[in-house]
Amino acid sequence: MAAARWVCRACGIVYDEAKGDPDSGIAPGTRFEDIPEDWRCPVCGVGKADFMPMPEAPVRTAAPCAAPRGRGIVVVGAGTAGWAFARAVRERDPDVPVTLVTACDGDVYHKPLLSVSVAKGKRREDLVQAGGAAKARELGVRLVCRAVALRIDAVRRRLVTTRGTIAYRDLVVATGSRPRRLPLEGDAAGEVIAVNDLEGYARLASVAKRGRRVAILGAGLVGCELAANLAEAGVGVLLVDCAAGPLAGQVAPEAAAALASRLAALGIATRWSSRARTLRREGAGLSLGFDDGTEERVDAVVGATGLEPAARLVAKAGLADASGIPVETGSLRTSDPHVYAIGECASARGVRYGYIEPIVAQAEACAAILTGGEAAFEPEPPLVRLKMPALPMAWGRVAGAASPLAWRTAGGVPGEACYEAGEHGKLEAFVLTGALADRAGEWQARLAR
Amino acid sequence: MEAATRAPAAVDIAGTIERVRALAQSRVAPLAARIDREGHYPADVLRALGEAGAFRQHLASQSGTGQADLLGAIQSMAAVSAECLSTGFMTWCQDACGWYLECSDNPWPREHLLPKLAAGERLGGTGLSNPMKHYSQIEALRLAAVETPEGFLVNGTLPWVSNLGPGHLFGTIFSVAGRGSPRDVMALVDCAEPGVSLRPCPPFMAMDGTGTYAVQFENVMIPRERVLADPVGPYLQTIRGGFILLQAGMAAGLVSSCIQLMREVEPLLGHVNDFCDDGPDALEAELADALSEVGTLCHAPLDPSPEFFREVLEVRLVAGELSLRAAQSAMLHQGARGYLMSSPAQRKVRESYFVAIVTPALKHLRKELDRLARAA
Repeated sequence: MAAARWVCRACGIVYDEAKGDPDSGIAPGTRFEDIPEDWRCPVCGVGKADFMPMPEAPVRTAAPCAAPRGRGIVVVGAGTAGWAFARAVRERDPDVPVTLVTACDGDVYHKPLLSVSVAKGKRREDLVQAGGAAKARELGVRLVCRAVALRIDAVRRRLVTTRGTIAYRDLVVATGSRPRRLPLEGDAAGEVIAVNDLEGYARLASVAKRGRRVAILGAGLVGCELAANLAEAGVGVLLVDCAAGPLAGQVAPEAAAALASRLAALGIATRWSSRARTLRREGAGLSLGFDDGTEERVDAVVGATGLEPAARLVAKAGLADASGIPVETGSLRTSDPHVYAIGECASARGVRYGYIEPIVAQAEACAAILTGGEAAFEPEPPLVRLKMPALPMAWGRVAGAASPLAWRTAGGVPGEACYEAGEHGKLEAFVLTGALADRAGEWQARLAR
Repeated sequence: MEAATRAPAAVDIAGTIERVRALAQSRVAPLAARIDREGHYPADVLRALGEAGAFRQHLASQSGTGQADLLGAIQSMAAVSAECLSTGFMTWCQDACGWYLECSDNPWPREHLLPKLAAGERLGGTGLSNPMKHYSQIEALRLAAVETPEGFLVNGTLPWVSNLGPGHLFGTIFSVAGRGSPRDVMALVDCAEPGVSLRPCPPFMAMDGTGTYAVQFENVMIPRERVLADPVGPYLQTIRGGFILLQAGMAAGLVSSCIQLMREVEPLLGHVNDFCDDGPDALEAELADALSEVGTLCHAPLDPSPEFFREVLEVRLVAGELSLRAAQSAMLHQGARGYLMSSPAQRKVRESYFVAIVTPALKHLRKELDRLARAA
């Protein structure tokens, strides 16, 4: 049977027998072979011989490309985890394309220094170990800075950002954490300073420079360090916590009491068992209102009430839950085989690792896996240090230790003491204060595994 | 004063999209090239689309069901845009104008003008491009007004307002000084109002027949009954989601027609088109994903929260990027035949830039998303 449609090999126009070519005097219904031999393609002018029957079925010779071409590893986040990962990948594979996407400039800095550098007069730029662009050049990675990662198209393996859409072979989410929002009311509720990145540090440093009175909400590790550091810098400090003292639940009560009296000795005013409710502008300053109805005049408020995982990016792709981004502990892989999460946003069996050591270990394990190696992240109990010259402290505890712990004194005098917890000769947790904190390594090694 | 028009007659809602599609194929498609290149403004076709119900689906007061079916409006707009993005864009203009009236607290325009806009008896557009850019700190507000006892006396020039003509309506925003506190006010403008003049724009690279003009205001009196929101702030937060979501119809129509162009040449060129970057199957899946997201967001389009707005802007960004890729891919799949001036493929390429440039442009969306992410 003759084809009803013929196609020009040169230009692709279709001669449809049903429609004919009225412009050239070929009536509808004229069969192709009945067209005069001097007829020409109405579009490109070639002759009848250059037409062929329109193929009915797709002609495929090549399989659709299985592996996306030219795609590499894309990392979101240029904090401790993101840069540690980039470095670890480069140590193993000089060639795999690595793109680092970050909402900031990607400057490299040591995050634990943010809470202890004001008294030393450090400016934001003094904390920068290397500029983002320079570090990217050094490692041979592409840095896409000032780009907010908006969403993951997991099916097509693409990351949509405010600076363009980037295709990935594997995606590593290292978005870290964000300060937990305080349920404050009032017209200045949005003025709370969070010292969670270099920009937050810059705000803190500028507040401190003017020698004002600053309230710090939250007396955990960071809150205590900030309080001591600002006091040392000559700033009036009010430290607030809803618990009865600092480091609640983290260390032995005797250690917390020693810390509380040392904070008081530094001239830091404290409000324990107290919750801030409102923050309002008052004149040139702020008025911080508490749950008992009282108010305190301050010039700035710093929030240190903890962090939550920054997981919005992956939430829509169904890869996040309330704990953060669930990953398989060893491989750091999410439920998507091409998406990994490391650092403070990743949640391994409900546990998030917020200290430098485990974050770097996660980055290295993930880098090994993504460069074809075999590795697994093995969680170790982190050794935590309170960087406060007036009372250094160090502590550690095994995962899954009973809570609350039954602490006992293991020696020393208040202010320079060891406290431990555990049963049947198994050390489950320890706290070292004062000069004894230098021996944390030995204690850490003794923790029951 | 204009008489209140009748309540909408019982409308065959389910059939609207099919009726619109049939009109798009029979009446819009043959005009596409003229609209694109000769600046032909298809007023009759727009009225016919209105009669078919294309402009009322998203308006609960006019849809005949009491429901606002934004997704239905988007699908109708997509059917039109697949044949001619200019006409699809004018469908959006008309839809947006109706949306402003529907969402306003002022009953006068809703009672006297909305039924006619919804039926396509009166045509209208939207002068929100400049204000939207203003609120994203991209440019200054171009219209300024002085408040008088009767209303507002407006002066200035608004560039690039589409779907206009004598007697057409459009909504826009001006700043107000004088009596009362300085603020921004949104109102409906009639092109027939004394002092309003339409100046034609130089020819565009595509979509010339969209009735696009620079609108000059010389002491134009806007009576209070035409005010849509005073002050505009909270109102803007409720209309912005629908305004942007509806644009998905343009993208969806363009992309689906590009996929169609790729499929058309598959029998002949499939063996070599396999080496193109974005194939029709992949694009079709992406379009389906984006539309399903749009459908979800259409359920509560008046949500004023920043989080909802972020979602809307994101899916709009995805739609804009997808339009560019789909048109590029359609062109590359079609090859030489797509390069002919008579081919729709080359027109799609030019049209796709419109989806990326019309307010909110891709760069504008990214700037706004950056701001919202940092504020969250």
